[in-house]
Amino acid sequence: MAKLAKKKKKWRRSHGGIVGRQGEVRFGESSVKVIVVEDRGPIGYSGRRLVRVRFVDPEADPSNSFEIPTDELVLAAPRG
Amino acid sequence: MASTALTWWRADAQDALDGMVAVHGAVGGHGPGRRYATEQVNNAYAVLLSSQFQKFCRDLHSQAADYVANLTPASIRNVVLARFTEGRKLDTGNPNPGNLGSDFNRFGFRFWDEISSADARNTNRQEKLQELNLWRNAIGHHDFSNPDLAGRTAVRLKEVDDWRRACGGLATQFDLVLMRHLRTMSGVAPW
Repeated sequence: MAKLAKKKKKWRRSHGGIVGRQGEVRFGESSVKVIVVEDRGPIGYSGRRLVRVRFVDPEADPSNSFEIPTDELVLAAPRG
Repeated sequence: MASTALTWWRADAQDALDGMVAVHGAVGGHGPGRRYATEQVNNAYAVLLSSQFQKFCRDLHSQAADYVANLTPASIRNVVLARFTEGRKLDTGNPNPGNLGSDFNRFGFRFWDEISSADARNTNRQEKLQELNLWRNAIGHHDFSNPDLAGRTAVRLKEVDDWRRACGGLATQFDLVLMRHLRTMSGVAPW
């Protein structure tokens, strides 16, 4: 357990403030813009890190969110 | 081997729940004042139990969904994971049997049928989970009008402990049944 807690702590430090950031994720041949709404932590297959995101598109249903691994997410540069 | 979710449930979640039991024991005094305080602690303990179990179920679902997505070609993995996790009831709703069935059935099996046949005790555990969520809603919305609550406005420590044991049993069974299903599907154990 201590190992898992250490892994989580290290990850939180390196991914601090990811919630609210925008980025792009590939769906087949195209990329879509998304915003991170929840940091799910290293809970994916083999400890992959997952985040819950929703589409940035203003016409998309804001309640429609889904999960993707962080290694598939290309974060946009933070503003300011 | 256990899933990441079950490992968390057995350690972190139990620590948090033990903390509530400790608070209950630390409430001092005698008479109605103490009784009122312990009732509030018991109600908080029940809500915490439901929320911890919800996190376990969500995390187990995510780990399994990510495993299945990784069985597919790289070009469609994100689509598969997104389809498994969008509109998931556990993201906004209680971990009641209906929501759990709806979300875990996405893996291509009848979740509760498998859980029921895996262990004879699971039917009773499922009923206790339903009771827990009935109380969780009543406490969370401060609405005790449901006739199933029999006019009560607080739970007893023994009841929450009982629900906790049921959730513990179900957590182990969920992990096991899902692992077996995904192993059959892929030929390799996911955890």
